Amino acid sequence: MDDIKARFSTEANELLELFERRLLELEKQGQSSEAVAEIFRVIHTIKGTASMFGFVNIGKLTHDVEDIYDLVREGHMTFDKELMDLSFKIVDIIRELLKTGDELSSDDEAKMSAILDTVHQRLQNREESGHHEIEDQNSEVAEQKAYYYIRYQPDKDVLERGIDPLVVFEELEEEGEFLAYLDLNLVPSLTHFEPDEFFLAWDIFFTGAANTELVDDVFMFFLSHEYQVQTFTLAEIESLPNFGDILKKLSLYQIDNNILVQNLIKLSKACDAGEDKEEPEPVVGESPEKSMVADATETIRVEASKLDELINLVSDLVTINGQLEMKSEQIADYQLEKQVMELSKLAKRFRDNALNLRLVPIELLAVKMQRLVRDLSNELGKKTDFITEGTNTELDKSIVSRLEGPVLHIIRNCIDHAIETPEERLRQNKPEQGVVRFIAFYSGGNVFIQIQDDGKGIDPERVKNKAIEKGLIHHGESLTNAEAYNLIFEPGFSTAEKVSNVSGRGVGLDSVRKEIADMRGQVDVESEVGLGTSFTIKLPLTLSIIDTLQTTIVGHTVLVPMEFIIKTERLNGGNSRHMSFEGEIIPIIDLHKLLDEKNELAKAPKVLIIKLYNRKYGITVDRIVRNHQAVVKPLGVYNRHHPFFSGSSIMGDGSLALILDINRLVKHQKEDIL
Amino acid sequence: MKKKVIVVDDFENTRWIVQQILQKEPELDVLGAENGVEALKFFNGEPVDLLITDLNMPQMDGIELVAKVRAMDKYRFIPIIMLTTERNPEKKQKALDIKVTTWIQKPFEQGQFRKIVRKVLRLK
Repeated sequence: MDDIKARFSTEANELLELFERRLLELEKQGQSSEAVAEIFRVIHTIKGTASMFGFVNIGKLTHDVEDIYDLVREGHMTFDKELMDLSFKIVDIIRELLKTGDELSSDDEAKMSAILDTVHQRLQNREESGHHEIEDQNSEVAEQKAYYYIRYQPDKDVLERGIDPLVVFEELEEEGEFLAYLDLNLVPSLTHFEPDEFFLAWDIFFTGAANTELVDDVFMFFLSHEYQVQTFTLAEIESLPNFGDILKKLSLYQIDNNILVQNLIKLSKACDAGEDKEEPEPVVGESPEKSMVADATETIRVEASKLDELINLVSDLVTINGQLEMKSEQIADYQLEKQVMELSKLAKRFRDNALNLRLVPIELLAVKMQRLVRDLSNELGKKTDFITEGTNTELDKSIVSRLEGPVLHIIRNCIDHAIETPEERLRQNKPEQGVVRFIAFYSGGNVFIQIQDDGKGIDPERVKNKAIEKGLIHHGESLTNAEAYNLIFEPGFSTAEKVSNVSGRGVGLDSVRKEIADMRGQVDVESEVGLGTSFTIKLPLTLSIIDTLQTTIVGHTVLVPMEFIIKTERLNGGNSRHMSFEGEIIPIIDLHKLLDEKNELAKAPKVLIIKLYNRKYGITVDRIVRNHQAVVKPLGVYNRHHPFFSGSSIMGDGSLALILDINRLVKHQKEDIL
Repeated sequence: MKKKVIVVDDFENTRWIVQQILQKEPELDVLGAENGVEALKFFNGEPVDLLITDLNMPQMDGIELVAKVRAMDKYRFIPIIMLTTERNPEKKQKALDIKVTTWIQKPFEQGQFRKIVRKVLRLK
């Protein structure tokens, strides 16, 4: 995409996000003239600029769509369910077009024309209903009302086509009101009767549908000669071409012209009564200018790559500064030391500031989550409220974008598996509407994210049984509930159930844990059967700086992330796979052996006690040097997937240190034992 | 009990897209088959609720497959959706003559496709 298009694209995407947010707001909180005004403004802005930047299709789409929102804004049209769904489709298609640089795939083309069809339909309906208002004053409402007469006579082979001919009645019922008179004249004598053939026919009078298309829709699976539709009004009922024939057939039911007309008037009244109930209040529009003033924090747009470059430079600066500090200590010149110290302070502040630039509020995820909750709940026929707290919590941009997958995965699970159907919830005396809560907050050097639902919870016994079934644990192995819950993150736990099913997503919560672990984070779950489940994700504020303990192991400098370490100990008793710590027997991870196969455990090495997901482990090291704040560098392409190192850092003396990845190490150790 | 849907198309992408669309329906279990011969295997196993098949395929075309399925006692009345790129009305008529429930023109719109499938299977 060229520069000009890219520029428009960025801006339009931001506008769309606003648009989507306002839509969700409207859907959740009902009418808000402010939201409607903003929705109109967004479409108006996009319309005004799209074609200028070469997005002809977007321009075409928004041109027509704008009229709809204008009507809503003016209070002439209601923001109902159809318009809501339509609006989301509009967002999706514009996004798609922005991505492809206005290229329409055939799929998109179909989508776009479907959208435009609905838009035109609505605009037209509005014109028609405008006419109705005038006609209503003529006091001959029922006489002018449009009715459909449908002669419905399925072919004999209809059953063999896999169609149930009676389904149409259910659908007519949903769309309006109808009278159907069964016509038995075609049923043959018993000698000619074939049980697989179909001999019934109906004369149907129907009202309520806005157009013949809807009738066609109901009879979608029938051939055009199987149902013939005629529109008429009561005033002209006698001019129906085969009216005499119809009356003759109805005489069987003792229905004559008068009774038929009376029945049809009743039909129309029933239909109107039904309509009125569902009519939402119109939204009264306000001038759009009002909402445009808000949020006036001044911002500058900077390319993310420029920021990355800045962070890289700062990292190098901090590293060199460290080396300089060491050198100046050796030289022991008071003046020099003083100046270097000043420089260090500045460098650190510089670094903190630079890192701050990359922090973005987690709110960026909120719209996506809300949309997912909405769409999925609708699809599954569940009612779910989505509540966010602390969405102004800031995290490194790269973390926020990498978080999207895992977070959406968890939310999808909540709605799919945890939140019950409205009926089920009522049976359990829970509010009909389920709640999914997304909470973000700071604690220490970390950001915590909790995703809670008030669904059915996870039954630890079922988890255990399933884990035994999958061979993840042994029969009779005793596990605490917390340990049992942890099993749901094991590879192979959640996927197998759906093996036969294409609809299975094929990835389980293990991928969530892995993705989070790759960001040096942790994810945990707590649950209460019947009450709900809570996932907690713990993440570092940034990926580029990390507090570590500097250690040496068989001559290597190894940095151990501080947040996992709970204590350091001296190892007595030597070569064993376990040690006792505060009355508990915990496994030892022998780093010496992992780093150098032949190396025997040193005489009395130090042990770092670490804690991961409520389990403690001891890690052997030769020497603990000091605390070190490490600037993380990636390991490079060939070592990216190293079993227990995930990064490197340049030390003050210019040497290279490796950063231990506790998540990977524990996993590696487990596999090693198995 | 989930409804079992068999999708038959020699073009992998079509099978994939159909599966993508239908896997959003929680009531459905969707299985794919590359051709009529493969598809028929499914009809000898657990009960199938809906057949969605392409018209033109190598080995055994959609028309032959439908005839074979309909010939089984168990599946005389099974709903069948035929996918077709055919714009030729005669060929369409032929598809109707062999008794399919409805046909869907490729390329199709996702919403419409789901709607038809739900309607055929009488899912609310």
